[in-house]
Amino acid sequence: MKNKISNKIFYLLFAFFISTGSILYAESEVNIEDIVVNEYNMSILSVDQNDQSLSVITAVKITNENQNTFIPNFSDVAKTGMNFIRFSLPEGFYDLYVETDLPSGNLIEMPQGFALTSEIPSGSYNLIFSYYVKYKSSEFSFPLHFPHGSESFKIIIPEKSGVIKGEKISFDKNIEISSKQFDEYLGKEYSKGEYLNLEMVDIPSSFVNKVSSSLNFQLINFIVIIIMINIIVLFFALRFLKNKKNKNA
Amino acid sequence: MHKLSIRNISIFITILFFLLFFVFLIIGTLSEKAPKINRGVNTIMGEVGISAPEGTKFALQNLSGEIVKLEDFNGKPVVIDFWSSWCGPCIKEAKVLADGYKEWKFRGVEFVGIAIWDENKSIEAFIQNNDIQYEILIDKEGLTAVNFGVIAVPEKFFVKSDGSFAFKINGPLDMKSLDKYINRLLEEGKE
Repeated sequence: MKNKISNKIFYLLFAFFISTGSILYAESEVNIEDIVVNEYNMSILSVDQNDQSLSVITAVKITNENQNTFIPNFSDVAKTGMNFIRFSLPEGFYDLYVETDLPSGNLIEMPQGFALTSEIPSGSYNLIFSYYVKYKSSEFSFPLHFPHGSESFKIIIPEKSGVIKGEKISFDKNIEISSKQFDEYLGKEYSKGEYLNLEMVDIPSSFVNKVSSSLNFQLINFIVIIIMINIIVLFFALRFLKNKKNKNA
Repeated sequence: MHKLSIRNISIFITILFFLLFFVFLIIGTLSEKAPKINRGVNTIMGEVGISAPEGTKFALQNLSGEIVKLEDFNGKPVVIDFWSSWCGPCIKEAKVLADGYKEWKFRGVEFVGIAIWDENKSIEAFIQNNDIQYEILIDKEGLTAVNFGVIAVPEKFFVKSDGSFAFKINGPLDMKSLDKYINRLLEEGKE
């Protein structure tokens, strides 16, 4: 008798959960809001003056604070929003390398970043990504977007390779690694969706590169063409006048 | 003496401007040249250029807290492997390196593993699970990796017995390629 009642209660509860969708929804109820970036450590590995490029590596620690697995949703971005994990990269990046301990998934590369299709089980995960990017003259700017926020942000740059500026970041210390000096800048508490407009100034640049990158060759070529046309017109005008003068004489 | 006419001057100036135009055109084209872009992901595998200057060294703690330096291996060729216990390709490669070391140590080749952005517990478990007998050092904040210009994990520096860099390999190796690269290191070390 007792068994029969408990069975009935079980079926009733099961029917209730099915009708409300609670059971089917249990795994997918984890929202992207539950994914938190704990650490965002960016390092400028090298500054190539001849090539005017920066080599950058970033190590990120993320946590799914929910007990359930986060399942990304790419089906209807307009309706559900960007329900997947993504990271910002400077425009024009190349040679992207990504490694993570997240379950296998695909990587979607975009002009200003990349997204991962991996599911994210409860707990903490690591992700590193490296890339190269060109800089112009002696400056580099990168609107670093934190779609998942970041509790802390750190950027390391070899000493005398430039000065870092940006919202909420300040110079922290000079680090010595095997007699090589690095400057460390720290920032913290970036909320979800916040931008850090990272500016790197005074990057070493060779004189030729500095001059060539500061000149607008399209404009110069246009001016040269205009002057040439004027000279040709002037030449024919003078020739015409000279011929006329000779005829008159 | 040839007299400079207006016509000659005009021709000279026109040619000069033509030359200037082409000079600017060439410089402009060169300065706007497309970077060596590989738009795909993880395309830089195998041998890659070394960005770390010659003489870059390390001094890191092992799990017992002892400081180990690159100079400690002076006189021996060394394979420095930057890895992480959470990195899939490193897990795949672990047995290859562990077994490879057991063979190559008798021929005077040293292996050093540098665990980057990792936790001591995970490193310890990784060493035990794979029976790693070579020195494993801890670079928790990845500073040594930054100093060496590491752009991927696993990444291996092949260092000659005089301490100079021979070459660098990105990505995991199998036993055949590990042997091939070590033989090349020994060959280059003789030169």
